[in-house]
Amino acid sequence: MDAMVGTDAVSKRYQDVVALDRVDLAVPAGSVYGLVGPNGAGKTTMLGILAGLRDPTSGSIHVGTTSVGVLPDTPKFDGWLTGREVVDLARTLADNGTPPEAVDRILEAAGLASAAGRRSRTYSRGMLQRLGLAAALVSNPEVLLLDEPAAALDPAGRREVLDLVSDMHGQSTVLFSSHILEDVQEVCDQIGILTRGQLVYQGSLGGLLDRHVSNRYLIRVRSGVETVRSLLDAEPWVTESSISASGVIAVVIGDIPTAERRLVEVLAASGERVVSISPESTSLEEVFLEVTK
Amino acid sequence: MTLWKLELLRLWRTQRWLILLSVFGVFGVLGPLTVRFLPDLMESLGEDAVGSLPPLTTPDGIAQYIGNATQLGILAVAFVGAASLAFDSNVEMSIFLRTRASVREIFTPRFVVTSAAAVVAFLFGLTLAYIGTGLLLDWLDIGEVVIGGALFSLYLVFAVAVIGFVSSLIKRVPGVALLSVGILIVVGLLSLVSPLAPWLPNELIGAIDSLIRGGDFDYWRAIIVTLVLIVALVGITVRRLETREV
Repeated sequence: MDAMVGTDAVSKRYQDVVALDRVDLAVPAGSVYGLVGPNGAGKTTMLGILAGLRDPTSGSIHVGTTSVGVLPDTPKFDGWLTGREVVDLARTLADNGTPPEAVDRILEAAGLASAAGRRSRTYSRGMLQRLGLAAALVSNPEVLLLDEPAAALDPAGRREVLDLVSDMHGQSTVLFSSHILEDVQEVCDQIGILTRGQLVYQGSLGGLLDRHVSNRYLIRVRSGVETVRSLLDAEPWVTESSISASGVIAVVIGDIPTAERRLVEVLAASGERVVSISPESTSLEEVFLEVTK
Repeated sequence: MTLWKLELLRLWRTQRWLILLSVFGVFGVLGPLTVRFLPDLMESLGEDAVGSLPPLTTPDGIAQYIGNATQLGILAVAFVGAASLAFDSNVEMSIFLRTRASVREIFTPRFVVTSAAAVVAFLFGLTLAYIGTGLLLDWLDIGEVVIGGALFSLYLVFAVAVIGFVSSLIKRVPGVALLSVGILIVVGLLSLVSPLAPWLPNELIGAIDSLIRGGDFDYWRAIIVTLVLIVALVGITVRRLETREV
């Protein structure tokens, strides 16, 4: 198996409930892989199996290193430990020669420098999430398993966490579970969609979005809106058009390859002033809903 | 920060050391005081009450302490021990530790520190009881007290091993503490069956009382069985915890 982290037909059953059904996960080395799915899809179970906390009912797993950092979805620590002590314990247990100075460095990066000496029982949920991430990152693990790392955070905290994860591109292999598709779209280059315990898509995020490209184009012109619209309506590859209140022409395309060749030509022939042409963006959310329906 | 320091900090910052020292310390003081002043107290209640008391002797100062240490002292050890040994009760902290260290590495410092804390607290109480008995009644032979104290300490380590084993059966701290006490009581009841008694860990509890009253040293069987049980329980506990899903 070439993947840094992978599973081979992994299934997990809890009595009659199938949490995972023959899942073949493949997380390429150096990638940031987003494992997405609705609540109950099996994301936490999958991460638990990869972290060695649960055993698969059948199938096998492969993690290409022993240097693994794990962040559970709701990190919590002994409340009488300070934030610095938690991260220092993680550093010591990693036993890979990470110097003590790394503790304060990562706490600073996680936005916890001023709270480092406080006992963790005084931390908010968002601070605990960042403390958990700092503990996972302190020893520069080769593989990071992050379960909903930004779910409990306010916008500023979420930004910090996403930046930290984004910085891991190429340095570590990150498996990042989330149901916040916006986050996944922002930081992940690979994606796996898990629904009802089955992996229904796996591959590059760009490839997934390209496969579900929109057949609507939005055209903004500075003059001659009606003229441009009537020229487009005359084309056989246009099936429908409309003009929005802000003057943007929305065109539904029947034959995308022809449209991609002819659209600019038609607009140029109109002699009107064209400001922009763009396919209507396809969000991961739309694709996700389509793939999981 | 190491797992050993983590356990020492747990004992210190949660003030569980204070609970243990207080429980054993209070009984260490009360044991000889009770023996010395109970007849006076009963006399003030009337002659009939005094007549119902058996005659109290110097060893009763220590025996009184051992009686209380066996009951409430072990209950305190059960709760303090369960709070440390049942580490899967805090799932998130357990995930933090289990993804970074083996179960053996996590369990060993918890077992050793809890056992040491229980033994130190017991010996602290025993020292107070010995000094109190000496000051208020008469001085006992120190050698027999030391040997008896060591045998009771071994029983305490066995009790902590039982708590550890129960933590591999159930996760919640109160459940672990109460079931452990239940098991220790059942082992105690087995001691009532005379052929088994010399072989059981509970024999070690009464050793100090017997030794200071001039009894013979006849505890090798109980010592060996207790040591075997401690090693077996710790081994089974680690194996069970290794295979338990979090």
